[in-house]
Amino acid sequence: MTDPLKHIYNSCDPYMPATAEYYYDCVEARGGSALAHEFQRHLTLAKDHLYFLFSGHIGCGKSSELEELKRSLQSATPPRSCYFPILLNASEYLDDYDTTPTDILLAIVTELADTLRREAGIELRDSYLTKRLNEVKEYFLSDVEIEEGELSLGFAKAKIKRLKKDPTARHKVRSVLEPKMSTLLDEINLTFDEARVALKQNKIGAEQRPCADIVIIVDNLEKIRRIANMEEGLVSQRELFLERHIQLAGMNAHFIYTVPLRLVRSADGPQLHQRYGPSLVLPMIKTIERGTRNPCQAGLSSLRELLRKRLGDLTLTDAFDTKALDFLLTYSGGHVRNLMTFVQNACTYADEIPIPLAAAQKAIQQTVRNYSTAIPEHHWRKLAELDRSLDQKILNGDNDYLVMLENLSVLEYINGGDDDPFAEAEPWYAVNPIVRELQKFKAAAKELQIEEQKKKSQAAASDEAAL
Amino acid sequence: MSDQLIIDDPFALNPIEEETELRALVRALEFSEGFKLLFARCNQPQQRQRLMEQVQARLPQEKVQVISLSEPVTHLLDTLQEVVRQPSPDAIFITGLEYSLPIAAEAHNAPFIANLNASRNSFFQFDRPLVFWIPEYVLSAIMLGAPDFFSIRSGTYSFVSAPDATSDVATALTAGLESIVDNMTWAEKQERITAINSLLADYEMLPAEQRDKRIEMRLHMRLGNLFHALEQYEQALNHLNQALTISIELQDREYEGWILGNIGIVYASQSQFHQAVSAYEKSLDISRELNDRLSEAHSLVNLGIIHFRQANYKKAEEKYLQALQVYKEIGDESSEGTALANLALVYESLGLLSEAETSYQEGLAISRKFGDHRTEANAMFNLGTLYLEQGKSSEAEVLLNQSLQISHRLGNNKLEKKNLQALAQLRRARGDSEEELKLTQ
Repeated sequence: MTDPLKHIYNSCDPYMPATAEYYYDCVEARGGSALAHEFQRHLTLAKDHLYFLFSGHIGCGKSSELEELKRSLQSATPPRSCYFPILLNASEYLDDYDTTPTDILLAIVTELADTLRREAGIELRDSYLTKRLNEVKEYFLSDVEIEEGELSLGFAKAKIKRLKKDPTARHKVRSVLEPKMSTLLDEINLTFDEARVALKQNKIGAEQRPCADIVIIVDNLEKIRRIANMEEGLVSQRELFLERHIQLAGMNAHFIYTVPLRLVRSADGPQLHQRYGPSLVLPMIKTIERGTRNPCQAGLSSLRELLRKRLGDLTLTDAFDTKALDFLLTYSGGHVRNLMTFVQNACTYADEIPIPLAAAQKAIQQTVRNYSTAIPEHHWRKLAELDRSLDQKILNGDNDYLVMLENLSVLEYINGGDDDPFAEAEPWYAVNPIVRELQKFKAAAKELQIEEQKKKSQAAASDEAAL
Repeated sequence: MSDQLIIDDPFALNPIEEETELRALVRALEFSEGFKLLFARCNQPQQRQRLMEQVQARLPQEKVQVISLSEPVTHLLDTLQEVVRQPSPDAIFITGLEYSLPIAAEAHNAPFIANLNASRNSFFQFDRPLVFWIPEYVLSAIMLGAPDFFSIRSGTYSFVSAPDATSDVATALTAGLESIVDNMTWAEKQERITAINSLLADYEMLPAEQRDKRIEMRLHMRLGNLFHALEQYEQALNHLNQALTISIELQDREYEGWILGNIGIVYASQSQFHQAVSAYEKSLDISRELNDRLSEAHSLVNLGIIHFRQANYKKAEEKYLQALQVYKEIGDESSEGTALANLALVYESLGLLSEAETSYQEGLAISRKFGDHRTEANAMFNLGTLYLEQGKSSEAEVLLNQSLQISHRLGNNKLEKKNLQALAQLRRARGDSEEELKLTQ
């Protein structure tokens, strides 16, 4: 029999998105809707194609949610319609540091043709796109492959992916395709029309129902750091999602794009909503309540359930000492990938199951050490300010806070609007519970408190003087 | 595992026992099926080497390939693809990444780090655990600059330098003089800060009985002075205050006084005169209590400088004269020279030009005697400009030219430029436009 600790270690891999077996819907605990539910709700309401933006912290469960969406679109039961989802991992095609919208269009059409062929046995006809593809193929095919004759779109994926690692070929392909951008977009739309017809004839799912439409899910698009010839970071992300939205929102199918949380929370956030349509930020699973900081039971129990699914035959009490589990859950801040890493670490410090509190504490020490040394000095005060603020909001567009969202020293949560309908989907922010316990943070918080008291007493004094 | 192992405060930087970390890392490798990303943080190359050997010795059944990079790489993934053996080893250790990130200050913006983040999904292909053996600044750079890559880690194990090795380095680092700090380049100061910071972190993580508060205090003081030299005053104060706290804890009055003096200097640099005076006065009290005459006189000079900067010339004169008296009593002629130069500035400001001249000349004689070229060059410049004001242009020219030569040799760009400007002014006054042109160029 394998060592149970080894089993836990490998089933809590922070690298892999949750499979159907491991997926657990944390709707209530996240405070917002699960992606699948929210997207499908919009689908039924939508008169036209949706361009849906999806965002969230690194490692908060976005890819797992997208996988789940794909499964639920395929297997929707009446009255819901079935859809044909295409899940495109942008990282397979695109160089994070050198991408253009043309590259993205090419990736989308390639993935479309590939998925249609593999999953529905549909081969797209020769079209304008095939011709264009064959015009540029010499740049990324070997001589032998060129000899093999025409490259068909449905079999091009492995070859197009080479462009990611070949900047020279990539630039040549762009120089041919870019001048034809508007035609290209038009042709892609024709291809979607062709695919839709073929899919409607093609019944899928257990109940053999026809597909209503195509949904293209573009994951990891938020990872793009630089658009060719632009400055890295927010500037490039703005260029891609805002300035070039005509391309991203110009294709005739339902789309979901992952966007960087930094951009959504920047001063440009509202514009994104105007140009695309509905959006969803996947919040952390709440481990504390806003304001009171009381433990959030719904969130903690979701995290428990999420872990239990990964344990196989073991129960949670088999695997963890109660105190150890509470400790790990509380200090994960509801960040799923962090929780996975913590559990793995705890396994390596434990001699046997149940994993004791001491091992859980040692596991957290690793992160304590990382944050103590890596958080820039000028962040501590701002972290303290956020922590002491009553509304727990961050300043839109303050670059320091955007960096903190990225390095997870600040986490974003959403409250369900049970009592107050207007509070729904309103994000709030909390300092990462581990960061909150660090000495540097405590020192900054104390200093701030003293200043506030001083100001108060000064204000009181000047009031007296005024009297 | 028994309850007594539970940590009092799991969020303090608790001591790291090498054996615990080593054992946990070995278990992580034993558990790992397929790709896993692990970090082993260790600042000292020799210790890293020893630990890698120990891990391998404890895993005799596993084939480990150690990849020691000895030159910079920009695409780690490509490099690994070339060197990872076939058939695959059971685990891959990577070391030598510091060659790819030679400068700590902006390490997180290096192309190497950007590429690491961009290729995060491709390391999966090795299908084996990868252990990055790296110093702390590389780990921080990865955390900040490659957040996606860092987020898929399965663990970060930390190893602290053995106490013996640490104290050697610490003495070397704290023994330096302030002028050494002044002469370091910006990058060197940054390097030094990174080095001291990680050394300090190592100390703070040692088990309580092995910690050396005295060294920690000196490291904080050193960091404070480095940050001061980099004009990062808030950080400077932060470290000096930590040093101060430790000195009080250790009841080391001597250090307490010195640190207070340094704190005063940081406030003075920010023109926060009130706080500066308060720190200097506390320092002065301590040096008098300990009968530390030299520190007493230094504090007096520092107080004089504050008064001078606030245009309280009479008070400044008083402090400088007091300091001069002490320097004479203890026979510290070289410091006397510095005090005289400051006193001369006061006289000059009061319009007492002949007193100023005398003080400058006395000061100059002393610094020449001691070969203190820095003070000498300053004094010559000051006396030169004084002569310039008095219209004694030939005397001025000789001094300014000498000061120019010395400041050039010392690499003191500021003073060199000031001399050039003064000389240009002198030529202009003479109507010697061609010479002036040459100098301004």
